[in-house]
Amino acid sequence: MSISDWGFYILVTFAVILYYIVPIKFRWIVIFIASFVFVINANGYKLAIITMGIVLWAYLWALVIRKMHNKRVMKKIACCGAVGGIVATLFFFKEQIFFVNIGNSILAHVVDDFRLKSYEIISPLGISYFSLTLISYICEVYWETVTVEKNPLKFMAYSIYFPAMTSGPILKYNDSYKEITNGKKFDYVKFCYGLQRIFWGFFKKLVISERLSIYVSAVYSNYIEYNGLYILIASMAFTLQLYTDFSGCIDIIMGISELFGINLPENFDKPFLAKTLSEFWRRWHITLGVWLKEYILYPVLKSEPFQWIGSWSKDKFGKKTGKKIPVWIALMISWFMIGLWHGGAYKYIFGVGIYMGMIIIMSEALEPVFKSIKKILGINDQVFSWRLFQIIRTYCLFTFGLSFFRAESLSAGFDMWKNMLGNINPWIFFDSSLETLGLSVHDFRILNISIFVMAVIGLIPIKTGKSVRVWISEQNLFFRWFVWISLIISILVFGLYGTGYDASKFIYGNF
Amino acid sequence: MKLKVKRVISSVTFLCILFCSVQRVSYVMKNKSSDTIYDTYLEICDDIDVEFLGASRVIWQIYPLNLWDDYGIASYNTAISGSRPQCWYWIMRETLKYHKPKLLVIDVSLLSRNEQGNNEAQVNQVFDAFPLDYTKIQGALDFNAENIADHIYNPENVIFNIRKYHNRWTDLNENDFKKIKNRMFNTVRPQDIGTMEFDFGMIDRNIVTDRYTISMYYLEECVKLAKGNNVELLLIQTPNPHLEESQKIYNWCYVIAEQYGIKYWNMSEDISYLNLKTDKSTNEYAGGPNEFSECGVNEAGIHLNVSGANKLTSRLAKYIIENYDIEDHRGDPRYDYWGEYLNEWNMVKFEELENQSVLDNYLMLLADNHYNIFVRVNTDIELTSLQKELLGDIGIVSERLAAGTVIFENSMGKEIEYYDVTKQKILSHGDLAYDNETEYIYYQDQAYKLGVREGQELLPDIEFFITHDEDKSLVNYSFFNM
Repeated sequence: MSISDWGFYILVTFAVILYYIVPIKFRWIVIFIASFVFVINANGYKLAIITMGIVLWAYLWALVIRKMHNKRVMKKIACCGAVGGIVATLFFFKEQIFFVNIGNSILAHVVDDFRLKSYEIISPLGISYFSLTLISYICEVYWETVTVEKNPLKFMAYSIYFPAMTSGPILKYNDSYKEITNGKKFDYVKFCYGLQRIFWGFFKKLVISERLSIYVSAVYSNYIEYNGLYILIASMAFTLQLYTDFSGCIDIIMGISELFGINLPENFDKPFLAKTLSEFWRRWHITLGVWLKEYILYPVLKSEPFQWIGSWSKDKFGKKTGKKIPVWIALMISWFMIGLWHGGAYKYIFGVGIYMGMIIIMSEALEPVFKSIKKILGINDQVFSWRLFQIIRTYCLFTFGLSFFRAESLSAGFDMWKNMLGNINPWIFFDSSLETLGLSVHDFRILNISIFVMAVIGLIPIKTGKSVRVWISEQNLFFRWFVWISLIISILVFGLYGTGYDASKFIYGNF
Repeated sequence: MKLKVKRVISSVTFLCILFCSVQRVSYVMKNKSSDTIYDTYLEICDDIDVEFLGASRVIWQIYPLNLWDDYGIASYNTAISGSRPQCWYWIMRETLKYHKPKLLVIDVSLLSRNEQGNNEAQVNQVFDAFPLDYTKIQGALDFNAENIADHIYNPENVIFNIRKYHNRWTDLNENDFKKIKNRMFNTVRPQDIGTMEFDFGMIDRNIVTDRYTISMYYLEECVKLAKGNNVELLLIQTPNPHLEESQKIYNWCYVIAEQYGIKYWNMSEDISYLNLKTDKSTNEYAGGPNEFSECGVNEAGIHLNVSGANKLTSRLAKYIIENYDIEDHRGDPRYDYWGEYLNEWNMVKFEELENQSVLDNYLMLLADNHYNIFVRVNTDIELTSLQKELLGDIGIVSERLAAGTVIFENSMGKEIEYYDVTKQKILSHGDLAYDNETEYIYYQDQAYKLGVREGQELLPDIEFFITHDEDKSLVNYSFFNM
């Protein structure tokens, strides 16, 4: 069962009906049962048991940590044990092949007859998401910023909350526990908003993302034959594809949650309006960024070794620069972790991790240089054209890194860069070459119109200060109904789904 | 409370509008192959006495509007090309919900074919025209990838066909936005003339297969369904040469017919009325008016052309009238509107003649009970043996087609007169008169100059002036050079 299966929506329908039938104080049980059914259905019994085992592990350790309230060392050991167990499981399912391969390539230089063994295994659905959710809970319990949940079923309802199991968002106990487990009254407006958001998510996924994927796949799966602008356009299209795919999926998840009256943390905040890469990442996959900041970056910076590095670098490089060095090191660790979280492959570690970290650190380190250049060239940074330049620059920088995400491997990613930068072929815009890449003229038209619509919709909150759904709900009935019926019909007609298409997989559904 | 009521009304209204919009869009998007069969059927099914079911041989060989024209039998073809008994069963399930005919005729011709012969498109053809209900869902789920030709089958594509057809938005045209009217009553009129090897050798009808296939199961289900709905059932097998093994399967129909008290008529047993000549020694067709179209040159895939289909339809009609209580509705005011269908059917036939540029095919199309034919031969022409046979089929003796001959022929040679215009200047036959001096034909108070087309005087080798025996209209005037 996946988020694109009929079965999933039948489950959601039954769960929603049942949710509002049972008394408020028992509504969390419906969430628990639906999540339990989903986990078993999506994973099979064996992986479902592992999923439940991890949740139970976190639940029990949290109780232990709480009991060690006054025993600082024991509490720390318990916390490390709890987090270590979850990390080890996550590592085993997601990263072991990668690290075993690294180990074996090192061993090959040392011994001839000993190799580490790796296991080709299917990981439980959403392990990358709920593991982080559980680690966040354990850390909060350790820091005593939350009260421990004693009801294991209620805790499970939160931990394996089924819409978020597929692609996140990564939940923080403080923000989402009560949202999920406190029964909500039926809210007509919220319910309608939920449905609207689900359809908007499907529009992004089926009409835009799936269409872009045809072009992207044509180039990326045969990248040796393409160069110059083909690759540049494909890379830029992939950024848009990933955004519409991932944010579309999140819209569906948020929409489903709103049907239950549950608000989840937003994962995107108009990332393509970001003027710098660091701002971009504050607007893109927000919950992952926040998680890493709160549970990796800050703890690392506060740790004793980093305090020592801070004092050492201040002595060595002066107060201003020396203060930044431990931050930059911690940032690189965080970015490495982001890369690794995306999958055990060099392409992720470099493209979504180290590359992004390096650009952000360099932009900070070289800020005085850029300021001088701006001054020398007499650039006014308070005008629209400068902001536009910043937005385009950020998009391109992000795209270059993300091209590794889609590439077959790290070396393929670099080959693509080489092919892209080594050739200039602007004639492809004029000689119909782009039409040979799987998208018909009709598809191009629909794609352009859809992206334009998405951009306009993205601008509404900026111009009006209201969310799109609120803005639409304030319009006249005819217009409102026209908009929503048009949206649904557009998905039905222009969506790429059905026989011959595999629109069932969301890119971030694999993590 | 007021707000709640308002919201309920608003939601229900919205959902209704949404539902209607989606329905309309689904209709526009869908492939209309199912609608072309069943839209007209659903419109007139209350007046239909006989329904024909089966595969392409029904569509190509049985002409309901001939049955109406000649015998007043109100009938319709609900067959689907290439379909197997599983499809027939579900067609029956769907159509019987709307109407129970007096007689259902099933051509069992594909009973022996591989059972995984249906494909998803055929399943869609069965169900697309019918609204979504429990029967449709049951039917869609009854098929599965294992019994589908290419093992690609998704019941969702049948239940919610917009899933299958939504990509057609790039191919939409004016017809997709209109209701489809099948004025041909789901028939095809093949106008080509082909040759093929075949052998109509029959085995003893008591030699029956001991297999019980899925197709046989579904055919038996069709029989049970008809019985359960009190619909008389006739199983037929339109003429078709079969290998011995296949014939054993078809002979099973005798068994089932006896078991359920219905009739099975294997039309291959007597094909003399089709005027076919076969050379059993070579298994090759050996001349004469070839009644087969070129399509389906294989063991069990032959189809008659228009001429053969006219004969087969007529033969079938006689059998139905003799064995079943089917009324002649001609003259019944309730059926006046069938005249419109018949007119359109005739228009199609006339257009076929008009568009024909090959003499062989033209002669084949003349094999119609309702045509009165005037022929003028201007030069001594050399006919091929096939042309001679085709002329013979409409009652004209080819040896008498010398230069200066004029022939009046009525209704497939029922009446025929030969004239030598060198001896007789003015000829008349029924409503038609011909003046050889002026070369004018006088018909229905109109004069037609022969040998003239678009103001140009021509002297073709052979000319035809065709009129209709009932409505007296001019059907066609054509000429050919040899």
